[in-house]
Amino acid sequence: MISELENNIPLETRLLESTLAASLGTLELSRTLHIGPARTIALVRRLCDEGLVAVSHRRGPRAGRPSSEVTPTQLGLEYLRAYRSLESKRLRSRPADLRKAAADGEYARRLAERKAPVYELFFELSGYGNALRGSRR
Amino acid sequence: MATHFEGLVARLVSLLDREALVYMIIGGFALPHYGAIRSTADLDVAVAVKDEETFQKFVRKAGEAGFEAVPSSYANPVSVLFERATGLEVEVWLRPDGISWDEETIKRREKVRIGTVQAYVVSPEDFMVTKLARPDRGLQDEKDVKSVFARLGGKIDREYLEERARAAGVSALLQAVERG
Repeated sequence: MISELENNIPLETRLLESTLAASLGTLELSRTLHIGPARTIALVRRLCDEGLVAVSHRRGPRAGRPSSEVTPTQLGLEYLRAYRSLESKRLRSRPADLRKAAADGEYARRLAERKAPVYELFFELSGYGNALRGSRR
Repeated sequence: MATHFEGLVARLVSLLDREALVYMIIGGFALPHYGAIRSTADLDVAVAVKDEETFQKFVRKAGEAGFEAVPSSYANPVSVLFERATGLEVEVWLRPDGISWDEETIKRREKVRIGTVQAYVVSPEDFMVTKLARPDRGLQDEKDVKSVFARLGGKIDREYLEERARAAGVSALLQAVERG
């Protein structure tokens, strides 16, 4: 199942990210990216033409076609760095999220002004959250 | 009755005080002091450790105090300790994002009663900068910053905040969160 967050990241970037930890073959990339093998092959070819990845072939002990391994090139690594840098400039929250956060902050201020034990409330909330996470596991 | 989290912070602060380490609580445990009250799953603490030897000594002492460390070294900006009795996690930040361990940062920490202990908590301005400077910054980090703006309003040291935000490269982001 692909997450909404992953869905917002361009496929090229996701492919490069996937090959960072280990060089992967087309089939593994297809599984990781949740796209069909034909689309994966076309994407790898395009990124190869653009100089962002390199494809090497390795012959295994058994007969048949050699397996391919996709690795990022120096240009591919620079592309990823630039993408991450640009991505870091974007706000994650929507105006409604920030309005709610401001309301929560104002409520906490009123509680503190009334001398409510804010840390007791915090421990209680975190305790509930922890118990909930435990029960889900 | 003390909760697991209350006990965790008490045991950690006691260890840091015994080892005479300069530290400050950051993240969700710092937030109730100047922002919204929300739940958290772990305790984040920034500890000023100057070399590998001091770090390994701290890890050894943490082991004696009931914590278990995921193998790590001074080279890692963050290490994780598990409390054996509760399974709760403490993230130990040696180099928190956007924060420099200088005299000003240390001077601006605030001593706060958290449960049964008095603990040092990062200043609200440094809290906001470190939240926005995280490479893996998420929605919750921005909401935390917004809640501090809303709760403290004019009490925020704007000059210091802007100076630290500029140094961390998050000035525009900070303005966007405040306006949003």
